[in-house]
Amino acid sequence: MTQPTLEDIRREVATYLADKWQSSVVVVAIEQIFGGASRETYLLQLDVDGSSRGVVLRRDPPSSLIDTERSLEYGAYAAIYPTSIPVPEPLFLENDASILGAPFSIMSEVANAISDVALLSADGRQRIGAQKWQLLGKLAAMDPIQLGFDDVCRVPELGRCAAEQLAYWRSVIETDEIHPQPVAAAALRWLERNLPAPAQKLVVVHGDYRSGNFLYEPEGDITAVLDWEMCHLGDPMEDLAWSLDPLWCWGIPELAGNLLPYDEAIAIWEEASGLVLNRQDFYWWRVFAAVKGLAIWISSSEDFHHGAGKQSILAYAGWAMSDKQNRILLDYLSPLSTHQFGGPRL
Amino acid sequence: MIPYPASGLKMLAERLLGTVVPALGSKYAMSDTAMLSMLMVALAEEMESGVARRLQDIEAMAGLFQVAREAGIDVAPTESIAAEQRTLSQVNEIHDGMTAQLIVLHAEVEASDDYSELNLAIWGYLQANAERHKLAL
Repeated sequence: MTQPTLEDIRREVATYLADKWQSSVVVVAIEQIFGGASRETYLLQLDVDGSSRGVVLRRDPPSSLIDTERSLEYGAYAAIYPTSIPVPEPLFLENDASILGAPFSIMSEVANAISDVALLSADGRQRIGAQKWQLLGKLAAMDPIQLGFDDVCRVPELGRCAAEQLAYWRSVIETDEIHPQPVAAAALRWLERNLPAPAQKLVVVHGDYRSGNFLYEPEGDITAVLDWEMCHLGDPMEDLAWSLDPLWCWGIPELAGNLLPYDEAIAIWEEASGLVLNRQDFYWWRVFAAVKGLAIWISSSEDFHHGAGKQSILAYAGWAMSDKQNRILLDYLSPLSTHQFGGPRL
Repeated sequence: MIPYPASGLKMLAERLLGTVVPALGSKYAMSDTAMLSMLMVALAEEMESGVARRLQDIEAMAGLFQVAREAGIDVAPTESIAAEQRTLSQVNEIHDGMTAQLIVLHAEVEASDDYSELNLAIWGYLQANAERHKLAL
């Protein structure tokens, strides 16, 4: 089986889960979810021995925005699930590609929740925004070794977190660029010249902590943090900078992630994490976040042109997101910039 | 008939969005097709003015290289563009070659205090380039 149809998935998943649970399983409904392209994602409504429940299937695609290990993602969900950071319950990781034509994982559905923060009222943005940065602060306050992350990913030295991440994303840009990238090249040189101080502490870095990667109940709370496929151990500034990248402000430039004023988001994170921001080092991480974003969009463009996947989201990311990310980097670094996106002043 | 590919592509995209998307059975297919339609509109715009924008870039980069040569920096000669080369893919190739040269020049220029004006001019070019190619997506 190469690319299964929805009917293939319906049939194979029912058989798979019936075997795992030793129960009668009928897939009542199945729907592919549009958006994040790191995995093909499907929502399945099941009848299990007469009871209803929903599960989410994540299947490796032919190509993706982010080349990541499914075992890392699944391991992160399993390690975080028992904590106060809400994530979907991980159920099964299946590396046998013969079942659905590619490895996959299955998680419980987080019901009655949405991810689009544009739907929030002003009060809702305040409430969900506060929770978003509280949760990130809580994650930074946790000991990754106690959570068992040393079994899931490599443990870097505090003084090497920034340099190792920079080297990784530089290699992605250099390997995947279809056209020469003068803004990325200038930004990489700046990052090399201005490496920050060692990390204050080692933390679990989600790697893609942004609006759109969590679910919330429309009148309630954040109920799940999703998409842990880029998670690793590193500097707490990394996730905070990524979460505050102006790329994630689609309609309201003054609100980080379309939710809260930047300084408010930072203050909430500081209180929840018990850490204090060093503004100079943090500026480095903000420039790094923009370079990492650009690397992902460059990579998705390469995947669209040369890879097996021809998903529209890859073309969109490779074009539109690169465009805005380049302008963010110019805003940060150009001596001629008027710093519309905050620049070093944030 | 003189064909108008850009407006034709835009019309096809509108038809996709207005007629095909509402008739699709799944949310995934609707979102995917709507995004395809949006990309087709952006491609139509690129077909219409992509060559002109790249030629502006090329002229600006050639100017920067000339300033660099006058300042004593070794920059390889710039290819001239014949009229028959002015298709998008051929102009792209020349644009890429010059951009690669610009990256090398920028690294050299920013490493020395002697070339601060040229450094500013390169940043100015990068900003102007980003604005010129800004997408409405």
